[in-house]
Amino acid sequence: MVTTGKSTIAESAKTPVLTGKSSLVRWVQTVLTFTIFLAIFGAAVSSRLFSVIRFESIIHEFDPWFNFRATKYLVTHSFLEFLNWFDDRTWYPLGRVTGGTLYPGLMTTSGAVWHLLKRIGLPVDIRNVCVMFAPAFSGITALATYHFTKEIKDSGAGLLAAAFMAIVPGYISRSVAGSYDNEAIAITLLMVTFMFWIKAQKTGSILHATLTALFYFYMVSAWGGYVFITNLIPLHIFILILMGRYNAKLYSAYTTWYAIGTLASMQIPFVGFLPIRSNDHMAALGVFGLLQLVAFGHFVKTKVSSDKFRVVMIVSLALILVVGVAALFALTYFGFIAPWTGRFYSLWDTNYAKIHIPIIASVSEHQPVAWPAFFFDTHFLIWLFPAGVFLLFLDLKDEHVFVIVYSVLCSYFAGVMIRLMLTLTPVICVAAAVALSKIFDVYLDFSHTMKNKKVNVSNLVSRLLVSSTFIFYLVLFVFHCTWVNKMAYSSPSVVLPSTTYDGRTVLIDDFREAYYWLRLNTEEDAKIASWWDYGYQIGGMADRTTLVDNNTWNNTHIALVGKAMASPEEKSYEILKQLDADYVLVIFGGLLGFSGDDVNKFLWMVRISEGIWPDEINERNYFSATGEYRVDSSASQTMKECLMYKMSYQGYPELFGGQGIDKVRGQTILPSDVLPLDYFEEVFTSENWLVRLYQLKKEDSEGRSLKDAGDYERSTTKSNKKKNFKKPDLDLRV
Amino acid sequence: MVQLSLWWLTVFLWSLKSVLCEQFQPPQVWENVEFKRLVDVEHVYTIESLELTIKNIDNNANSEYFLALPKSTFDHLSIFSVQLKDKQVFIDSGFIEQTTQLEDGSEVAYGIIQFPTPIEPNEDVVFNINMSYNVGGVPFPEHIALTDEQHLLLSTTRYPLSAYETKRGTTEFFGSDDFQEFHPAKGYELEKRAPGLIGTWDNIRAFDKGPELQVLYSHNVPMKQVVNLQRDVWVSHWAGTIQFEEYYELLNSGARLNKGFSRLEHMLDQQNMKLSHYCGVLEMNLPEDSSEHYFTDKVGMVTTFRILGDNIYLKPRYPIFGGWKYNFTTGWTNPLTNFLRVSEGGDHSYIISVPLLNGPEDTIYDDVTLSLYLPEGAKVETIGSATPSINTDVTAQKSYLDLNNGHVKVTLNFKNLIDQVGTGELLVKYTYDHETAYKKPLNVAIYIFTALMGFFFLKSVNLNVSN
Repeated sequence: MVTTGKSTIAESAKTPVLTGKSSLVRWVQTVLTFTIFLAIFGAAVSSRLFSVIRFESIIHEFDPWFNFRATKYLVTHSFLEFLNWFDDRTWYPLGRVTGGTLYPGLMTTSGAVWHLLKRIGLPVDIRNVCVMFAPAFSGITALATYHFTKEIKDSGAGLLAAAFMAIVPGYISRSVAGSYDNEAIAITLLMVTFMFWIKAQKTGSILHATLTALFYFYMVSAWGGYVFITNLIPLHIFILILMGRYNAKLYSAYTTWYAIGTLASMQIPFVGFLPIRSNDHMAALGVFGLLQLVAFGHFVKTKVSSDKFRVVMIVSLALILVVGVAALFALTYFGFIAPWTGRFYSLWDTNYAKIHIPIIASVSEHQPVAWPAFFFDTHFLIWLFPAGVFLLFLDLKDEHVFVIVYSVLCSYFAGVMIRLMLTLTPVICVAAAVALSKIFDVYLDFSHTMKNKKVNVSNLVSRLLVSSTFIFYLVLFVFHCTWVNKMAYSSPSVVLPSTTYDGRTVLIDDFREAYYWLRLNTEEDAKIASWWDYGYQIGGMADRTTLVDNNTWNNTHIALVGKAMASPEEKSYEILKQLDADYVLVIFGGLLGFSGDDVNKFLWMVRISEGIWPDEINERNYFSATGEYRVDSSASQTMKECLMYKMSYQGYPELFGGQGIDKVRGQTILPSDVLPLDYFEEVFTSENWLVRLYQLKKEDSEGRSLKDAGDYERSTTKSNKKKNFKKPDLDLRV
Repeated sequence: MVQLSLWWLTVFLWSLKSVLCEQFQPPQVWENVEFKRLVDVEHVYTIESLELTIKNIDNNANSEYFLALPKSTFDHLSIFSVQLKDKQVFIDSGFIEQTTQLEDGSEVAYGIIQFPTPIEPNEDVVFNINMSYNVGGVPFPEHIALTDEQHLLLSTTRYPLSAYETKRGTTEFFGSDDFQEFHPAKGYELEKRAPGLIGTWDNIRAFDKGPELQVLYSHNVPMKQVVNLQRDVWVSHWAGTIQFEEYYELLNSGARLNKGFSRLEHMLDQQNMKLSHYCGVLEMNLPEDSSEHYFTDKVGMVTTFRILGDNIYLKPRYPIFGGWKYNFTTGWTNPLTNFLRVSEGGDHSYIISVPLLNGPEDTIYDDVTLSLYLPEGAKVETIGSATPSINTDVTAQKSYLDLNNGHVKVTLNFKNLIDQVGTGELLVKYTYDHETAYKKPLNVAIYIFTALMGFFFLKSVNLNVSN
C-alpha cells in the first residue's frame, strides 16, 4: 500500500528503486493502484450506507429537507425560475426570497446528476440522487485528499490520507447517505480547491491557479464556509511573504486565483458584492494589494542596493499597515464595508452569542466541542495529528506552511464550534497520514535487516514491533470508524429506533405520521405555527405553509412565535390569529422519553422572545419558586398558563389514570396541573404522543369569548356526564 | 349567415337529443308477475339481487326485456349479470343510451336483457339479476364521537322500480344487525323481519316508486373508498419475475368526527378491542408466492406491515377516520411462470393473465388505471379484460436502461370497480422474440464500451503547454 501510487509511472524515472522495471511490473502497479482506489471509494460509500440499511433511503434531519425541497423545485422548474424563486410557503406572511438567499451549488449539482442519469437511461428518483449524493462525493473527497497529500509528502502518505478520509467519523458525521446538506459537497470542493492551490503555488501554473479559482467558485456556490478558503489562502501567502519566501510563482498563482475567483464568486446571487464589501473578505483583498507591493519591492530591490532597500521597505511597510488598517476602520465606520456577522464574533468569544444573539446559541451545532468528541470523531489520528504537524515543521516547504496554518486555524475553530470539526478533519487525516507514512517509511523498510546475508535480530524485532503496533492501530481505527458510523451517525433523526418488550426493533415514526396527516387532511393553504426547528420538515414532508423555519433570517418573527408559545392562551390566540395561523404543532417527548422536545427547548423560546419584549416575557417567571425548571405541581403559574405547557400536557395525566409521568423530566403531572384549553382544539396526536397538533378554534358563534364558552361547556358537561349519547335521536325530526 | 345556420342546427340537434333521451318508453309487452328486490347493505357498495317472474302480455313472441334503473345507480354500476333461474346460465344483457325523465324529475336508465329464445305470449319466465353499484348509505348523523357507532342512511325507491306493471313487488334489506325505517310513510311501512326489513305491495304501476324510502342501519366498519388506484405491473423475461406496484388514494367516506381527534380517547377506545368506524389495518390478498413486499408513501417507508401467508396487512401511519385520506404505495414480486404461458399459436408468443385488483376487501374504486409494462420490443397482439374498460392504450415508457423506445405499456382505465371484480383477469397476448431479448444487454454493453473508449481517448489528449 505504501510503495504504490497512481503516479508511480511518472515517478519511476526519478526514484532510483523503481527504475528499470519491466512493463509487467508497471502494469501490476497500475492495476494495484486502481484496485486500491476502487477499494477506498467502496469503503467511503459503503460505510455511509448504514443509515439506508438500518433505516431506509430517507433525507435526514432538518436542513437537508430544505435542500431536498429546493432540489425538487429545481428539477421541476427552469434554472432561472429557481434563481428567482420567491417562496410564499415559508415565513408566512413575509415569504422568503429563497432563490437569492441560498447556496445553489448543492441543488444544481444533484439536478445535473439527475438529468445526466436520466439521459443515460437511469431515471433514478430525485430523492435517491439526493440521498446518495454525500456518499458519492465523499469518494471524490478521498481522491482529492490523495492528490493533496501527495503534493505534501508522497503518494504513500496520499493513499493513507485518502483511506483515512474515506472512513473517518468526523467527516462521515456530515456525509452519511441522506445527509443532503451543503457540507456534503463542500468538503469535497474544499479539498479539490486546496489540492489545486498547492499545485498552483508550487508550480506557479496559471492553469492550476485558474482551476483553483473555478473550484473556489464552485465552493462559494455551495457553502457559506467558503470564507475559510477566502482567508486561508491569503494567510498562507502572507506568512510566506513574512518568511521571506516571496517568488514569482506565488505572485502568478495568487493573483490569478484572486482575480478570477473573486469575480466568479460575485456571480452567486446570495454572495453578490460581499467580496468587496464584507470584512470577511478584506484579508484576501489586502494580501492581493500587498503582493503587488512586494512584487514591486522585489523589482526595486534588483535595482537598488540592499542597505537603501531596507530603509525603503521598513518605511513603506509601516505606512501601508497604518493606511490599510485606518482605511478598513474608516470604510467599516461609514458603512462601505459590512461589519462582522454575529456568527463570526461567536468564533472569537464563545459567550458572545449567549449574551447577544440567543438564536445562534440555541443551535446545538454552534456549541463548543466537548473534548472526547475529538477522539470519538478521529480516533488515533488525533494524536498522530500533532506529530504530523511537527514533522512538517522539520521540513517546512512552502506547501507545508499551508498545512500548518490550516491545522492551527482549524483546531481553534473546531474547539469553538462543533460543526467546524468538519473542516478540521481533512487536515487531521493529512497530517496523521504524513506522520504514519514517515513511520512506515522507516520501520517497514526491511532492506537493512538483511545486510551481508545476516539477520540483524534486534533491528528486525524493533521494526516488526513498531510497524505491527501501528498496523494494529489501523485495524482498531477501522473497527472504531465502523462502530461509530453505525451507532452514532446513521440515524435519520426523523425516525427513532426503539426496542419492544419482546426484543424486536421497531421504528418510532411519529414525526412522519403527523406530517403526513397534515399533508393529506388539512386544507392545502393551511398555515402551521411551530418552533422553527420543524419548519423545514413541515415544508418538506407535510407540504404546508410555515411561519418560521430553520433559515432563521428574521429573529423578530421567530421571537413572535416564541412569544405565542410562552404566553397564556388568550394572548397566544391573538398573536396567532394576527399571523393567520391555522394549526399549532408541538413536540412532546414525555411519553417516549425523547429529550429533544419542545418543553426542553422552551427556555430558548422564552429567551428569544424576551430579547424583543423584555417587559412582557421574563425568563424568571417560568421557573418554580425554588428557581428550578419544573413541569409538575411546583411549576410556576406562568409556566402552567403558557400555551406550550397546556398543549404538551393536555390530556396526558388522564392517559395514566391521573398520574402522568413525564419520562424526560422525571416528574409527575396531575390533572389539576393541566389547565383547560379553550382557544385551541386538539386535532391530532401521533401514536406515541410525540407530535401534537392543535387547531385554532373559530370565534364563538354566540359572541362569547372562547374562554367563557369553554367555561359554560364545562359546567354543563359535568352535570350531564352520565347521560347516554349513543344513538342518534330519531324521533325529534318527525 | 353561417352563424345563424349553426345556431339552428344546434337547436335542432338539441331538440332531437331530448326527444331521443327523454321520451324513451319501453313497449309495454311484459308484466312482472313477481318482482323481488333484495338489497344487501353489508358492504360500502350496495349489492342488489332482483328475482323476477315475468309474463309476456303481448300478442307476439318477445325476447327483449328492459330493466329500469335509477340514473344514480346506473352511473355507478360495477357488476351487472343476468341469469335464468332454473338453467343457471348467464344470458345476454347490455345497456341502452336512452333514458326516461319521470314526473318527479328523476331520470331512469335501462338495462336490456335478451332472452336466448323468444318468449311466447302468456308464457312466464323466471330470471335473476345480480348487480352492485358504488353508491350506498351516507353517514347519519354526519358527525359522530370517536366512541359512537356509525349509522348509514340509504335513500332508495320503496317499490322495486320497473318499466312494466308489477303484480306483486317485494323490497327487502339485509346486511346489518340494526335496521330502522326513517320517517316511515303511514300505510306503506316496511316491517322488521329477520334478517332485516321487508315490505310487500300489490299492483304497482309502471315507474311507480312509491313514497320515498329512507333506511337507517348500523354500519360500524370503515367505508373504504379508493378515489384513485394506479396499478403497475412490470413483466421481466430476463429476471423471470412480475412486479406489482400499486398507488392508492384512499378515503374513508364514513361519518366524520364531531371534534378533533383525541389520541387519549382513541387509546382508551382501543382497549375495548371491538370493531369501529375507523380504518386501522388494510388486509390485502396477494397472488401466491409473492416476495419482496414493500409499503411506502410520499414521505418514505412505512414499517408497520406484516405478511401472513398470501396476505399482507398494512397498517397506515394513522387510523383513518371518516373524511380522512391516506395515500400509499405498496408492491411485491411474483415469479413470472405463475402468470405467463407460452401461446400455442406461434413462436415466441406469450399470454399473460393478471388479476385486476389485489386491494383490501369491502372497498369501492372510483378510478382505476391498470398498466402492464411488457419488455422493450414486445409486440402486443390482443388485449382482453374480464371487466369492460373505459379505454385501452398501448404506449411506451422509458425505464432503467431503456435506451431505445422503452417498455411497452398497456394501459386500461376502469371506473366504478368493487373488490369483488378483482379476481377478474386482464389477458394480453404478445410476441417477444430472442433477438429483441438479447438486443437490450447488447445495447447497454455497447454504450458502456463507448463511454470507456471516450474516457480513454480523452485521457490520452496531452494538455501540456510546454511540449
